[in-house]
Amino acid sequence: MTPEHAAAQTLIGAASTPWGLLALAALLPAFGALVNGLNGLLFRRRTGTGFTGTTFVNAVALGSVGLAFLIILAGFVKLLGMPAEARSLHADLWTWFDLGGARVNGGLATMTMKWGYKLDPLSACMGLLVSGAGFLIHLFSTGYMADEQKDGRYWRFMTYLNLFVFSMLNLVLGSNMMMMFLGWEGVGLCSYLLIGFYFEKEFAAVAGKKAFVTNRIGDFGFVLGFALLFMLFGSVDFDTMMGLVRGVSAAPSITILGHTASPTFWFNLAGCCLFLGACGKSAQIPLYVWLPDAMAGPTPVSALIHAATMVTSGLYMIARLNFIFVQAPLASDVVLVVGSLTALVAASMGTAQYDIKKVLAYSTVSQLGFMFMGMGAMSYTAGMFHVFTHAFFKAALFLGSGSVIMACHHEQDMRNMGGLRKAMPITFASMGLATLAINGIFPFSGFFSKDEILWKVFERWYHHGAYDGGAFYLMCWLFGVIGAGFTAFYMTRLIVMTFFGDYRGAGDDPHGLTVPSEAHHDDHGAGHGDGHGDDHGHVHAAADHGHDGLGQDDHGRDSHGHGDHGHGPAEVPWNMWLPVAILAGLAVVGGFLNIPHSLHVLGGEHFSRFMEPLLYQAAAPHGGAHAVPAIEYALMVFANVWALGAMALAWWMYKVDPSWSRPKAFVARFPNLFRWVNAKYYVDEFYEAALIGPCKQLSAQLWAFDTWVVDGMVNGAARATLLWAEASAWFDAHVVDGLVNLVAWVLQQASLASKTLQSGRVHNYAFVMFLGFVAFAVWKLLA
Amino acid sequence: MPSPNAVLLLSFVLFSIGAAGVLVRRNVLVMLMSAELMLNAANIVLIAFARHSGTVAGQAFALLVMGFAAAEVAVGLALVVALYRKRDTVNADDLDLLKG
Amino acid sequence: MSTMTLLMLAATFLPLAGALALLAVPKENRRAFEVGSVLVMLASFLMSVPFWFQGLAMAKDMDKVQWAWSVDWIPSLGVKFHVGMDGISLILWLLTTFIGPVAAACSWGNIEERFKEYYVWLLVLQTSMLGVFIVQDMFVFYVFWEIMLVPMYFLIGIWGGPQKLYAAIKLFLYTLAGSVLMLVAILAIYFLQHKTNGSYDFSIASFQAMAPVITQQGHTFQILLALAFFIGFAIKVPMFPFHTWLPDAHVQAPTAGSVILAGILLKMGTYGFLRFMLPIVPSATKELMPWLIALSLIGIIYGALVAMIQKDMKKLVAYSSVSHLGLCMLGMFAFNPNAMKGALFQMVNHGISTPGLFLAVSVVYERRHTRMIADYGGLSKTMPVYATIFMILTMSSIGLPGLNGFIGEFAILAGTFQTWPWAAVVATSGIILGAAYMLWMFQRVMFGPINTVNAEMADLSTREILVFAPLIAACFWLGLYPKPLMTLMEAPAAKLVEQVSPGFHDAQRLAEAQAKAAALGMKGMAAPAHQAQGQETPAAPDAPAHGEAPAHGAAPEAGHGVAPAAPEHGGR
Repeated sequence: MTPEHAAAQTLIGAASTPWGLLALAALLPAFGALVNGLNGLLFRRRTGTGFTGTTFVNAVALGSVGLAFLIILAGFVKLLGMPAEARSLHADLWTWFDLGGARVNGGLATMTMKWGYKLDPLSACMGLLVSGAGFLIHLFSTGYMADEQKDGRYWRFMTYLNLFVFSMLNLVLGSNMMMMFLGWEGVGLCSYLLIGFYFEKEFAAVAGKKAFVTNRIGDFGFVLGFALLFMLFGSVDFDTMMGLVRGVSAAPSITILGHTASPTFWFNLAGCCLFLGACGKSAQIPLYVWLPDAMAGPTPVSALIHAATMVTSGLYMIARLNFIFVQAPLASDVVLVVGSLTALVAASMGTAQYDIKKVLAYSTVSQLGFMFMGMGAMSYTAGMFHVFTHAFFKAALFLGSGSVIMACHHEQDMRNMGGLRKAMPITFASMGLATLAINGIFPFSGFFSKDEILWKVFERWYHHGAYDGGAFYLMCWLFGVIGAGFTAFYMTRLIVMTFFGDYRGAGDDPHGLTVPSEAHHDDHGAGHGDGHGDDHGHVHAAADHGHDGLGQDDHGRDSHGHGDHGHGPAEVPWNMWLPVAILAGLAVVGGFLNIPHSLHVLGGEHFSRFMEPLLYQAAAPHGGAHAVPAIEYALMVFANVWALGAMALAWWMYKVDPSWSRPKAFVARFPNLFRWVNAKYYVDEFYEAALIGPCKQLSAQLWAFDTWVVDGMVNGAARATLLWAEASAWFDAHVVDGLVNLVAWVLQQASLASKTLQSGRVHNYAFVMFLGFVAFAVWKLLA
Repeated sequence: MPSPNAVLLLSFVLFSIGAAGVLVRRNVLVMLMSAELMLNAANIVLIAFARHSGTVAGQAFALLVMGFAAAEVAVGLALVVALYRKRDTVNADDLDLLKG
Repeated sequence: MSTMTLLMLAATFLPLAGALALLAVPKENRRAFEVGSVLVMLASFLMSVPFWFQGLAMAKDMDKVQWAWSVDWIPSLGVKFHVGMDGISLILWLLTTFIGPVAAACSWGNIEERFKEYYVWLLVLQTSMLGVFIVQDMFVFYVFWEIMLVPMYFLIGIWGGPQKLYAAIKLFLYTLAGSVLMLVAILAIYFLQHKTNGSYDFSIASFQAMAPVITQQGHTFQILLALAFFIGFAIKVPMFPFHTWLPDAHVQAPTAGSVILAGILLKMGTYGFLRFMLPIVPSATKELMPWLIALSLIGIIYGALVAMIQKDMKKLVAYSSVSHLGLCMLGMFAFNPNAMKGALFQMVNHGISTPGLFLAVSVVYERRHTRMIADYGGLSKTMPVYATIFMILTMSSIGLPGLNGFIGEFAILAGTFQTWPWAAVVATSGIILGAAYMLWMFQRVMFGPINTVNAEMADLSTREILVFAPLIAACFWLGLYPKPLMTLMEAPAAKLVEQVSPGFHDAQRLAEAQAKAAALGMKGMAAPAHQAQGQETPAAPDAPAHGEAPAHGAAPEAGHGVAPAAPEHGGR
């Protein structure tokens, strides 16, 4: 531990209060996962209740997450009772590992990683979100995963979910980057396991792997950023880095890794590396491709992991390290442009999808882009606030879509839905409100968060009455605004296609809108194996029927016989609609937690104020320092009109004419445009052709190289040795051994003569002995 | 007590009978018995000269030879029996495995 | 000879004694061999456990050889039977006793003939491997080093797969070629030593003491010496391009053979690097460094890429070994204490997770007698326990934080990053590939539709779970609380770095003192920076008042003092 480290520790450590319960909050879900996992592996039962049954699994899973939520809530309340500057609780458990001294910027630091947690305004909010939303989604799963309760793998689902909450809590509550990385990888693993939960489906397993590997590419950046930060600060503890950052950035130049450059250079480099990590986890261009595929997982997973929590971890990381990004203008601009591009591109893809979960997936990618725009504009509270409001409405939408999918007998194609408004009023109301929120209609929560972000970006261009920020920012802003329009369009389209009109799933389809569905003929849980999957199905459908992309072909319909379900969709049980309703309620009112300064008559910037101590203040905060420009109000009004216009367009296209003749006409007019958007601009195919294919080819070539060249040399050496050996053997057999045999032959011939002496008869020998004796006696007597 | 010459003569006669038996007879059993005869001829000489010289060394030696002879007969007879079982003959001329 | 030394020798030779005892058992008695060998291995392991605690108790002295004992063997040549262990030997020795019972127990299911010879050879192999780690004499080391090959040859050659003879002979000859080169180097140093100080001595310490003399020899001589050592050990590790015997040996070997091969035998090469090449020929090694690093990097990427295309699970895991050991070698050659510790840690990690993966492959092989990935699929459905264990081992192998693999990888990358940043960047990208090939295999074997043959496969039996249990426990333990192991390797790693770069730690201490002085200056205390830079100025009079006395007062002699290190230790 360097003295700076120690000094910083005392500076900041004094302000932090130890609170052991915090560790319990983080570890409880792990405990739940352990109990459920071991129980399931060792004592599992197919059905029934009791110790090994569903009730027990539910009690452990929900109990551990609920308790964690309550503990974090208690911590949150405790924080509120503290002075703003000292709002920090921590629990250090043990020294995870200690690599000893390392040369870093400014001398020597000990590479010590602590297993510790901390609760400050930022992590408290994220912790509440993770455990709270986590709990609701656990609750939803008790209803949604009813089929799995019968086929004996329900415990596995709940174990993974608990493990996920554990990892996510580590990510947000960890007191240093190492703990964050532990959670970071942990959520990646859980995501892999949960996406591949229906592992019998090939595409689900592939999607899980794709998610993990794509995330790993991001982790590559994260690890490099991590190492750079360590080299810069000699520590990866958040508080310590925050305490040191002023000194580090004040240095005229920094020499690490044998390279001297300004602090800004290093911050930019570290920022870009870290952002690559964030791109992976938070599904930004170019690493967003895994998220749509991740919809292969069960719907609660999509809601929990791929909408509310895991995908926001990149955002959380940037907010947590805001002191780096504030001083890294280039990295921030990269964040901004990637975020705005993602917001636009993903939103445009969302307009041409038919799978209800795919629409929401692209919507998530796009909304994450908005959040990154906020981060890139260095308005961290705005970005984080959108994380929260988005978590509410997107979780509500996903869970609502889960209810819809379940009500429609695991049908995910919106063309086969419709008219659910009457059958599922609560779900409809919840999803409707959430849609208004995501569309950014005043006064729903999405308006406050999204508009704030767009305004902050706009402000980079337009500042204090002068348009001097560079057209770059204007462009990003425009991307965002167009993306917002797309958002309003596809969300309204989703609601209209799903809830309005008549139910098309039961065969009443006067306009011929339905498509053959694979979801219907294999009843869920019985034959996961044979479904080739919606994913591929749709890609191919789009390719095959590109010109009439709305799927007028109904040739497959009759053969599958939709009528055999016997009953139409109905409202889902309470444990499913209640979480949706709660989240939708939060989505409606959540915006009032952070009313922008310009609308202060409605309330205050509670959220921003709460977060403020964690933000690095490069300059004096300008919020409130100047009068609100009229253009901000104008933009607010414009945003509402723009969103309402997009909604009206969708309504006009899909509701006013129930046969969807207008979109069909549009598709007929621009077939290629539709095909490209529907096929997600062929990005996946591009990656396959440009990266994965060559990688596999290289791998095959290297394998051939290994077999034929590297091993060939070894075997060649062996072959040469063998040849040499054969020659030697011939020489040995004919020359060397020949000489030996010659000697033997001579001796043999010689022995032939003498061998006749050997009669083998005892008498002969005795007689010779006797003769010898006689001869001896004669010689002795005569002598 | 007989004179040493007489004893020597007896011993010579016995030894000659034994030697002739070993050389002439083909029956292994008889050859063994003849060998015993030769040993005993030697024993007689040993005892006679011990008596003559008044020491006991010769008698002790004779006793040792008798011991050896007993052992030899035991081993020899065992071999003969084994041989008979194996080859069904005790004729020494039939046993010429060492023929060159 | 102290009690501990006796215990060490007993633990080492107990397997051999067990092998002799088993020779007396009639060969039909299968159960006796199975249980007997496991019991002997377990007893040997239990006898080795006290060393862990004693090693920890005197962790600071583990850079020196402890529990030493020596007796003349061939006095005219200077050969002694000299045993003892320092931290590095201890860690690997313990790993060997730990893997022993696992290797014996995993053989129960897959050895169906000639049990007696099999278990006897297994026990002999165990003793010879343990012997390699405890001897402190070059000659005896070489003897054990070569003896080790014989049982391995028979294990592969008799109980192996269809091409067992090819693999066994390849293993034997390839590694023998390497060891002969090593022998040449050993003899060269031996005679050089005689020329220098007139003594004939084979002890490792005296060889290491030759380093300064070797540094003064001719350039070519040094390079050749380093290359002889390098090739000898690189074949054993194996490093690219000397690795091709490994996939063959692994694929053909019986499970226990693969387990021992991956767990221990490959560590012999890395151990050789640490024990001989780095300390004995430091300057030449440093000169070859860029090449060695390049080879390590090629090994990482190349091994990973080739692993990706494999259709045979065992081959895939074998190539993953090439990749992982490339990382290990990278850490070793980065010449940095962090990376060095990481390399040591990675040796242990690889010795735990890769045997685990081979065991996992053998589980399905025993059931279906195929190792082709394409023959499987959907096993998660019928074998959930197996899938869970396989998943944990996979994650350990690809370095998930919280499991052991991560700590080693991280330490290597963090250390390498300080000295060779670009090498660290390349190595990190290799880790992405690691995730790709392992998960791809996992996905193809465990996920996807299940066919009727696979649907009838039984999940793990209690015995199989017990075989995996210690490995899984070790994965979690080392991943969550690696501190004891780190403590144990602290002193030897420091010594190694010092041997390779003399003065490294002095410089480190100086930097530390400077940092301290700078911090004091920052706090506004009277501690001029020049004072800490080793100049002959008296300590500042006001220093003790701030409770910084040891560091501050000793700062002027930081260049060669030990005092500055004291507060560092106290601070942890």
